[in-house]
Amino acid sequence: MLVLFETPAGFALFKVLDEGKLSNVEDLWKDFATSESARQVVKLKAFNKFENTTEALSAATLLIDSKPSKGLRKFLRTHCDGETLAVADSKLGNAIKEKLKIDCLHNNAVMELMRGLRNQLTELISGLATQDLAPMSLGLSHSLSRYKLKFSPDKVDTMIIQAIGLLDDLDKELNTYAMRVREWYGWHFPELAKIVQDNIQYAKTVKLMGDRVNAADLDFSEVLAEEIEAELKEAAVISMGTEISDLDLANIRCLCDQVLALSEYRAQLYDYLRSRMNTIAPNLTALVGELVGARLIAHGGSLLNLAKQPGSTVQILGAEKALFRALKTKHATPKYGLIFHASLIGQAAPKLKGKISRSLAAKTALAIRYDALGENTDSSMGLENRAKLEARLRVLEGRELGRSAGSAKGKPKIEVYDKDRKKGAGALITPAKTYNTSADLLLGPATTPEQDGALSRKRKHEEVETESAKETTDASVEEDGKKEKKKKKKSKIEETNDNDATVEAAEPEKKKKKKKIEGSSAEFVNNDETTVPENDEEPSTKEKKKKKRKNAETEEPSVNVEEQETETKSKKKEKKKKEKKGGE
Amino acid sequence: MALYLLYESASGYSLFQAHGIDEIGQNTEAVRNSVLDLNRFGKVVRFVAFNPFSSALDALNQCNAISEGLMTEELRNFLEINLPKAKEGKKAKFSLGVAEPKVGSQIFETTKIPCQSNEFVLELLRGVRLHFDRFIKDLKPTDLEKAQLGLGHSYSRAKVKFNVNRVDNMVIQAIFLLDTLDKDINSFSMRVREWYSWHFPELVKIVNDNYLFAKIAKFVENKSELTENHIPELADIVGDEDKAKEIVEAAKASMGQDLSPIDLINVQQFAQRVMDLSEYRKKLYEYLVTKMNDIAPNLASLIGEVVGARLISHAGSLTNLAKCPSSTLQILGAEKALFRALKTRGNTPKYGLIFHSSFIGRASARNKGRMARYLANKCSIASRIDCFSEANTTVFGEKLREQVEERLEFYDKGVAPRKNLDVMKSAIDNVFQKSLQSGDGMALLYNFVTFVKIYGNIFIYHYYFVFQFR
Repeated sequence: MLVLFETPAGFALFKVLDEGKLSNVEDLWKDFATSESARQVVKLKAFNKFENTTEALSAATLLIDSKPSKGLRKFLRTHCDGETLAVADSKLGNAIKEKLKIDCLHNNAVMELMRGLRNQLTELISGLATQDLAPMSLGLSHSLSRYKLKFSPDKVDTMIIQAIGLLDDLDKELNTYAMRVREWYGWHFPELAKIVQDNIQYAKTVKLMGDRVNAADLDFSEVLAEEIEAELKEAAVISMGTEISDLDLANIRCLCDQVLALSEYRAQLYDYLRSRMNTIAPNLTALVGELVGARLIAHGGSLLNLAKQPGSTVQILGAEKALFRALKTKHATPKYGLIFHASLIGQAAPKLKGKISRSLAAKTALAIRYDALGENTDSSMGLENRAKLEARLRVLEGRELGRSAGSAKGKPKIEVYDKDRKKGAGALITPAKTYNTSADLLLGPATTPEQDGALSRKRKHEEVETESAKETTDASVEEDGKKEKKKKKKSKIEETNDNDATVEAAEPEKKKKKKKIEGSSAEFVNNDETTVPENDEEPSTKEKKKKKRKNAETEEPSVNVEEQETETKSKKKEKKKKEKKGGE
Repeated sequence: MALYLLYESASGYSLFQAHGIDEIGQNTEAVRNSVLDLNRFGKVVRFVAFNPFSSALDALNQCNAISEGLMTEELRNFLEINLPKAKEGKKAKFSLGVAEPKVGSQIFETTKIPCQSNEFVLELLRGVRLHFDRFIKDLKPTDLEKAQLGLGHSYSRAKVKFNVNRVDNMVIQAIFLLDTLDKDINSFSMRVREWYSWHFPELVKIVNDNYLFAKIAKFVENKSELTENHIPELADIVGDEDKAKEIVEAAKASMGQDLSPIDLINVQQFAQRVMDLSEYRKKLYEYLVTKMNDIAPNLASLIGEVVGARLISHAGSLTNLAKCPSSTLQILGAEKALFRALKTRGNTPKYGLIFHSSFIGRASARNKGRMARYLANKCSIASRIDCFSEANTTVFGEKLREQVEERLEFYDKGVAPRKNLDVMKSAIDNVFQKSLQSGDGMALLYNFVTFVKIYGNIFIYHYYFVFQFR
């Protein structure tokens, strides 16, 4: 009987020497306790090593699906004919049986045997040491898990992080080198530094010119503008720079070459970054641009990490220091971090920068999530959002007052909620509002104190006391039958009060306001009259007023005090002066 | 009698005629007053001709000639063309006013043009100088200033015998650049490592050298395409067959992930850039070495090119370094520690930049300070020889180095060093022998003078040699 054993390094085929041992499953492990005893049970018949990790990976993926790979089939065909094969996976056994007509065996004993084999693997397979096997299994497991995760090399965002870091480094170094060229060549031709401002142009000019004596005969049209060229040629004749040896000049030219090559590489890297950003995070790129997007990813650590951040965090990413300082000192927190360099914020007026930054951050957070976790790989969502943000910016700036940003894309217009109207219906669903005369401010001696007292009491405990108020008014009607006019007025007030009660029950907020108004009106009336009935609200409002007055009073005196103080101070000073004078 | 005036400006010769002399009279005081006002001066002096210099070099030559009282060919032509001809045998009816009497006599000797140079002429020339840009129409005032500046600089450089091969600024620039390059190459190499390790993490452990890593990364590219066939080429790069095999083996079982082609291309390009930069660094180092051997040969041979260059760049120039006492040189580059120590009354530092010399590393911990002091002494002497000696020799540097070695041995094993006197004697012998062999009399004389200056005492002791030479 043969045993098929799969290792990360390859397939192994063992021959079972003593098949009788298999019957005693319980004690099988004892035979695999040492390598010597194991060798008495099994012997390596053949070993098929994988060529490289990719082959191992393809074999392993097929094995997981219980299918024999091509290499395995070939291997079995050559080494296994007419014998039963013990396999660890019964499905695999079936597949082998079907395809290769080899009898396969799978039971408890086989599993125990496999366990034993795994234990003594490195001893049994000659030429496969532990230190060889370990990197193999590590490599295979890594590639297998990447394969299982459907890992795409196109989606590696580490490269972006590296590239943006490198881009920053390159910018810095390029500047350093260019300044070095300027300083070095400036020894020979100091005027050139002022004539040619651009670093790259400067390096090109120096490389072309060499010694400044050559300047007159050369054509700089490829490097410089015409007027600059003329200026250069003029300056070269009367330059006050020192002469320079050829060796020095050769080295300066070498440095110029480096500067030019570096700048060229920088351009390449920028292209690379752009293309990567467009594949990895197309929507993010559409919203904020490649550089800002890449910086955001680099700051977040990875696209996935960034996707976990809320919009508010994205907004101030890169301004952590300012944020925590602001939180500590209780000042205003920063409005933007890395996102500030996005073109949308650059377009906004200084006043709107904060607002736009907030909306942009929100949309950016969405775009990042879409890029990191979504299936689509186009930038339509980002572009759409960008258009929306631009529209919003225009709205904020007041250029397009007519259209609102939200309704640009055919959304249903949300109507203003009106509690008195049903949607679509023309008529009011609540009783029509009537004019509240009680809220009016009355001038002149229109009401008697008694009535007023009744009125004010009613106003105090509105809903509860409406009935009692009615009673009192009835009583008053009985008592003072003469004053018909006033009676009418009273009844009107009652009616309106009733109405008010129903309306006010629906809207408690308004009620409060009205209460105040009524209270104050009553107060005014009372102030007009000589008698002042006790009112619950009166004292409080009065108190408020008093407080206000007090405040006003206290403020004035305080000012006065200050003035006095300053006066006294000045007086003191004068006194001192006088004293001094006297002393003198 | 007409009076012509020759005025040498930075941009060319010019000739003026003073025709209102009679009105002014020979009173310098009156002239002095009239000079300031262009309206009056313009009536007195008339512009005749202007001959611009062809180039800055030409201007320098003319300037040199004038300052030495010589008349150049150009000046002679200019004068002969523009001045009226004097009849043969007769006295000329005009005279030429020049600022420099020497030039005047030279002109008179060769061309028979009567020249005068007195206070009156000088006053007139002063006026011409003041209003020069008004007289010549197509000359912008800034141009004249620039020309003066340029000529002034080149004239003074010529006067101080400026040697382009001995500009210490170049060394200072080179050492700065070398430092920057070292830093950059290191950071870029680390980036290449990080970048390529994403694809092939095992390579970092096999190849330690930065430059080699970049080279291999560029060669291997996609690790899955690396086969046994590549071993010979890989071995060429690594310089070791076993390592090449190891790399191929590692590539087979690598756990690194695949990169997309565009990423790979970018990594390759970057690796190439790093290699270019390291090659440029090598070139720059060679340049620094040759430069140091031109500028400070003794210092370089004593303490090494890089440390020597650092010392020069820290002092600002070789001359500044030569002016430093050796105690300053000893702690050059450790100023911060020094002043902190002075403030807190702690121990002052033992060494600054010279610590990077191998001598101090070789001394035992107890003797490091002593060694630094001794080395600083010798460096100071070497820098002075380099700065003020005309002869380009490394003999002194080598001898000083021997002395330092001997001192090191003395601290280490107690072997007594040679006496300073003997060493210097042999050094001077050596130098004279060399210049005698080369037969360069001037160099010999220069050496003689210099050595008397520097090593006066030894030289007097050594007088017999001078007699021998005579």
